Amino acid sequence: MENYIMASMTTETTHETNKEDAIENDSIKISVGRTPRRVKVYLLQGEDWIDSGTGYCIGEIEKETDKPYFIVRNELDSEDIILKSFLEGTIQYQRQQETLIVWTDLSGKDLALSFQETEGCADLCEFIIKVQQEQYSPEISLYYVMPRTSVIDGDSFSQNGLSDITELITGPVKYPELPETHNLEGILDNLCQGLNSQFIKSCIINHIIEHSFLSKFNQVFAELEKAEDLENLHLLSEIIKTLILYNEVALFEEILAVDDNVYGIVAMLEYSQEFPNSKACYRDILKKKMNFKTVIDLPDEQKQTSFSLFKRDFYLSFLKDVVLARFIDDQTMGTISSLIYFNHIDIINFLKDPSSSANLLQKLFRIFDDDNESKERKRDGVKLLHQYIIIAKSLQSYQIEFFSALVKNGLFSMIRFAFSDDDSSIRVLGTELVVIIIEQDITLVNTIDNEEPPIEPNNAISTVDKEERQKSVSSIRLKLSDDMTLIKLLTKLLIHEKSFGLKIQAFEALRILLGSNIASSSHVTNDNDSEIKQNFNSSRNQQVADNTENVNDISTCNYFNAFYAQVAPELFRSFKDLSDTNSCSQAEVKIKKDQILYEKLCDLISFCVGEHSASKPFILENGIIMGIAKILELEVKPILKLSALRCLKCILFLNYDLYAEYILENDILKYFMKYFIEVSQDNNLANSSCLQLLEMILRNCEDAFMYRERQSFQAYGKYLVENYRGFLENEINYVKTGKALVQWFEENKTKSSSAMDSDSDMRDTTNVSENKDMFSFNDISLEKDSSKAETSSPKAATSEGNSRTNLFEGIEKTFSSSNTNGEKRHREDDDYSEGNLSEDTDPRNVDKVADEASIEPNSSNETFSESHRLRKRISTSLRKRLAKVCHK
Amino acid sequence: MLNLDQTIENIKECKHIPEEDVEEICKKVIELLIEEANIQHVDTPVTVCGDIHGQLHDLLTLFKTGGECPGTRYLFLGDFVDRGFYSFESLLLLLALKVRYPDRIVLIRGNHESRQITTVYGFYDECIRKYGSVNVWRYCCDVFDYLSLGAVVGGPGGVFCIHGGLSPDIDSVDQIRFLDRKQEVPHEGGMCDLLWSDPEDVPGWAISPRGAGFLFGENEVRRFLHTNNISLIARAHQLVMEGYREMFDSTLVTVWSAPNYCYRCGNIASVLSLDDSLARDYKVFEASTHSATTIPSKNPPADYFI
Repeated sequence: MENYIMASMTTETTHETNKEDAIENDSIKISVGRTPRRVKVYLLQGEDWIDSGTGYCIGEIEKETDKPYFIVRNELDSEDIILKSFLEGTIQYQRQQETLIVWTDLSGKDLALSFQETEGCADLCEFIIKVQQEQYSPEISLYYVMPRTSVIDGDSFSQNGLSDITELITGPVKYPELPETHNLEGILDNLCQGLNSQFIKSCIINHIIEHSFLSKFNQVFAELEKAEDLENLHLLSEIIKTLILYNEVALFEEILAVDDNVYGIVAMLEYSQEFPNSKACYRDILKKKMNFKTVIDLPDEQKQTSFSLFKRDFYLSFLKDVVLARFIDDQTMGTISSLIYFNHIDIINFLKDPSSSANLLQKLFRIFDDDNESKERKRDGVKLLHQYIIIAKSLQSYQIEFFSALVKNGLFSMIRFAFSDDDSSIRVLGTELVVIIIEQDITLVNTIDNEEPPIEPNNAISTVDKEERQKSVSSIRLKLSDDMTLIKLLTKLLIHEKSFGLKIQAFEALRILLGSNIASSSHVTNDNDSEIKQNFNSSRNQQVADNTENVNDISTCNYFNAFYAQVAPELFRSFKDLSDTNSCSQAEVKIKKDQILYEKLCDLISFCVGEHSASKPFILENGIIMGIAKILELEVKPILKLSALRCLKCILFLNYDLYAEYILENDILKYFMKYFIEVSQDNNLANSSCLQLLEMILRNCEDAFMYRERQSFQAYGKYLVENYRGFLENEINYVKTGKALVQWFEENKTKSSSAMDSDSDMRDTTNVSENKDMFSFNDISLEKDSSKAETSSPKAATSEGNSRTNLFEGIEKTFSSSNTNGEKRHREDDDYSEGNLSEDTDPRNVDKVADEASIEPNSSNETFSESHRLRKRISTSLRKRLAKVCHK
Repeated sequence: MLNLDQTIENIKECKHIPEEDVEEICKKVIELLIEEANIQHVDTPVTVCGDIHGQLHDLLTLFKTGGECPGTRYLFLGDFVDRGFYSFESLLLLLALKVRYPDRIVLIRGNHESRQITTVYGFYDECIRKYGSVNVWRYCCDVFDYLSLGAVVGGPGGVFCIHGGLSPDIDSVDQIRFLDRKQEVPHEGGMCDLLWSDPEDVPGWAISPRGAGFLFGENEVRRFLHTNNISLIARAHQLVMEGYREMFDSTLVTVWSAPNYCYRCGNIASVLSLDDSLARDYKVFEASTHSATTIPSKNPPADYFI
């Protein structure tokens, strides 16, 4: 949003300065049009434009008579004048296609100047504008004729024939008469003529402001309303609508400048021709709502400025959302939105600046430390801050400073209050606050867990104290954040809260806190220039310089390890219990009782496994995968089962060796297949979800011959065919996937064994567990940095003692012994080797394999990759477009 | 306890619906949607409706034009929300009707039934304005993820109904069955295209100016119809001034059901009735005039704090 507005603002200001420059230069008559511009002169004869020669054109003013004219001198002979044409009378000039000026002179001749360059044409057009506006020939006019460009929006309008647009650039303006009760129709007609010309619109708006039309409209309105003259009231309403659709910032400023103008406009718009029998009640609403609730009293000297800021905000959004919403177009809406936006910046700047707002934030948070304060006032305080945080949320480059000002001034006492309030709507607002802030900058909220509040909220602070405080804040923010207080708080909410909405919010907050970008989010603040940020950044930069990326890595590592050590065991306990035969019945009861919670927890695990590798030891050690899989056989709602199934898919598609081992070793796919069989004859979401998994396994099996790293999928494919061949071949006959998988198995027995053998050698040297460009699955992003995975899991393992180390060793060992685990599969591999000997190892076989892979099941690889390439482009353009849309 | 019939009446009158009721309706509708196929099979006769875009009063006119639900069976092609001032009520009315008469109304997903799009085009703001927090928006977005992607009316030789159009990744209706639709509308791929594409006079496929989905031409339509034994593609997604527009020798139709779109486009709207022999009857209607001048067009903001 900002970018777009900034751009349009700058262009406007440059316009202004250009004009001023020009006016200054005008003391030497007219400066533009003096550079000779190469041009071809045409004269219309009958139907044909006749070339009348090529020369250089300038615009001049005759000294004696002050009469302006164009003159074109032959390019070969400057004495030879091809054309001299006065700009006089009511001649209408048209600029066409960037380089043409066309007109009919007073004698009726049709003339055209065709410029070699756009600049030349623009220069002479500027000359015409000056001549008209400086009153040399006030009755002439200039029009631009432009081809209509189709505007594409989030919705495309089915396109109609595109016609040219003609816009008046300069010319005589007919101004509306001063309003009275009897001349409104004439005024409206007059205004409507201006709608297509930016030039006329700004002239008329200036005129209206200069002659205080708004207060005159108010007087007329009062008379008409008294006389109940509906016809004229409707006209007046139309006049106001037309003026607003002129979309001139100056008019909006004029309206907002005086309360009476706002009330006047709102009152006039209560009447509408569209609904002749009714009247809106905007004035009543406005009056009722204007009684702002005041939580903090401001000293009188601040009241005026601040109050006008808030009032302006209120007026603007009231106009935008209520009064004007029905009839304004996108452009006008954009103008009002940008006014609101800039005012929001002012509000946020005002609030965070202690000198202008008289420490308003500090006073606000102090309420929460005062035991004598009423609960009501505290609650209003939460609502108030929520309102401003929603505002700040839309101001990307300003919010971080604001949020850090909140933290600095004692936000956490408010949050503590909000979280523990017995009114759930306040708890909702409190969590929402936290979510919005941590979405922006996680490091801010990590200070929430600090035992000592960053500020002693009891007395005015000297400059020294201030510096002290800033230092302490920045040091807190650098602290490696392994304190889990906030996460624990949210976990408690997620598990115990009865309100569904709040549960979801806690879930969202946890998701943000467990995201992989949590360490990098503090970097976002680099473009920030507040004092505290500079402190923060400079100290950080030093450290970063010393120790490159390690600061962040260690910090996230500790942070996530703390989560998996302190929080996760409790949070995901039921999954662990479910995996264990001794405790599973208990877990089952718990899960059945709060299925929404467990649905969210499955989602959370899906998220965590994709986001950070610190989850791996935890997932493996606690039987989480088994727990999740077992949900598929519980008697629970499909919504929970599907969430569990998605979670399994995420884990599968991470293509991580140790997970693959675990899955095969523990027959995890058995649970999937059991569920698949259960829903195989339905056509519903569960069925589609299972089919998709099967299809993905098949595709990856086929790919595995080109990419060794898909090996685990081969193992899955093999497992499925060996154990469920009948089902795959016969039961899901509405799709080809099952048969294709069996076919793949049959045709590639030999290949797969040799691929697996040679693969085991590869394994030691290359890290194949996280293949980034495999494909992304749903919205789960694969691990961002595979090296992170390598560093963190062994570290965690050694720190946690023997049992884990052994587990890892064991798994590694089995993997290095040619991906076989357990005797059964060993034997199968032997079978393969034998088959390999007996079967033809003809290279044609390989070709055939490749062919099959590309034909089955549905789309050939060529078309797939072709459309894939196309898609890459599309998605970039989509992202750009969305970015643009968001900025509007 | 939720009194559904009463709630439906309240929604129609734009009365405030308690958050708990919204929550319950959403949960119930998810339980229904989860059992539906990606491409639903819908029996004739049915009335097919295009974009609604939060124009509640026009939606009520639509039901008057096509016959009230459950008397008439309905199939809505998505884009219930955004743009209009009553996105929330429009959506909730459709969801409540779905819960009340599951077999009489089918809802499929449009490109606006997405978290990303609704935060930009109004539904998100509307929810915050009407309920003060984002919770109801979240409930509704959860429902979006479970909506079917399309429908086939009348079995073999029938009508394929989708919000946007075709996808180069999808040759056959059966392929759509492989999509795990429970997700935010992706930026690319088959599921995205079904919700975003537009028909256009192009040979084959072309890049869409919308930045998502594709433009597809007559040949692609013919091929799809032939492969899948379909006689017509009915879709929405594009404003057509006359309410409906047939293309490509009547093998495709765009149905648009938001009259005077955005309260200023001046278009008329239509619904498409398909009878047992799949004969098409377009019923056109205009913007409702009774609508809200007595109440503000959008709700005024909640209390303002200083």
